[in-house]
Amino acid sequence: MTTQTHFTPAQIDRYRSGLASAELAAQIERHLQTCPQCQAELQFGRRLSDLLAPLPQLAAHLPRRAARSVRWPRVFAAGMATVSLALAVVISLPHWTAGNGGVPGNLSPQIADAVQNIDFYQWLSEHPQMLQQGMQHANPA
Amino acid sequence: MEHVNALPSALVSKAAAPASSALNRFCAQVRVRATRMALIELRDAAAAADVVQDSLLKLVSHYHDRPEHEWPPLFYSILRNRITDVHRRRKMEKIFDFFFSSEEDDEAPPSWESIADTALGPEAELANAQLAGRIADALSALSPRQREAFLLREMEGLSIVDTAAAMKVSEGSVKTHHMRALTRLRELLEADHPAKV
Repeated sequence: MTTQTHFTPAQIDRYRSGLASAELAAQIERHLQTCPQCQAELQFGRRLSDLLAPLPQLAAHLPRRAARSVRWPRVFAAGMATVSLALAVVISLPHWTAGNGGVPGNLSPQIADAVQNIDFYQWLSEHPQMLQQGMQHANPA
Repeated sequence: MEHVNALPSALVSKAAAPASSALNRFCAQVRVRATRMALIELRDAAAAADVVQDSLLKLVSHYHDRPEHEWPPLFYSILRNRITDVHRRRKMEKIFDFFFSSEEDDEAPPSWESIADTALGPEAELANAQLAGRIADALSALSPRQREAFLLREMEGLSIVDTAAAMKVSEGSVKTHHMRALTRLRELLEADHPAKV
């Protein structure tokens, strides 16, 4: 590229950001020595930064962040919903943990059987002769 | 004479760190540009001043003994973390917005250009303010990484190595973000008012 032909803004930006190949960078550097137009193009980002100088004055006109106030009806509604949910959990908890006939599901089969037939076992404890009789006639298999 | 932008001596002594004259000079120089950067990120003058002040104090209290050339990347790294903290806090506040009301609830933040339009002043100043507003709006349209790379490289004049250290990314990433930022800014600004920029 001759010194008369200007580089495109894309090429200048590539050089400015450090992404240009060594060959392109050398060409641009040679060209920049004699071309005020491309020098100005190279300073595009710098110029923008300098033009931001009035920003603090503009910031003085920014709307202030408004104070936040509590929306009590929503807080109350959320509180009621939480309490209702907690109550529902507490009430339904025994139904979830209980198995058939109100027997807790985590008991061994023998204990579950004893709990379910507690009346029979009470009667059996009062009539030990029936237990002996039952053992004598028990099926050996 | 103490520079108007240097750290207040009461705060520095509270931070229990000897602020050398070089460090004081650095603080004074960097404060204006850092505030500009924080303003673009936070859109709140008080919050921007706070994060810049906090970052300077942390630099003075924790890193005053580091070599001078390490101050810029360290400072911008701290500032970047502070800005991220503010963004996180705002996000958390938004989660609980259901329980809070404020006037800004249903309104999008005004653009910088619209703020410049309402600012009163001499015509030349107004034109400058409008131009600054347009540039700030264009910067706000970039991705956070592109904006950071652009501001650190162009406004601060940090090297690629220092920018990479401040942003905690690779040097290649800095180059790519910077390049994309320049391209996008040209598109945004030159398409609008090509003669003005």
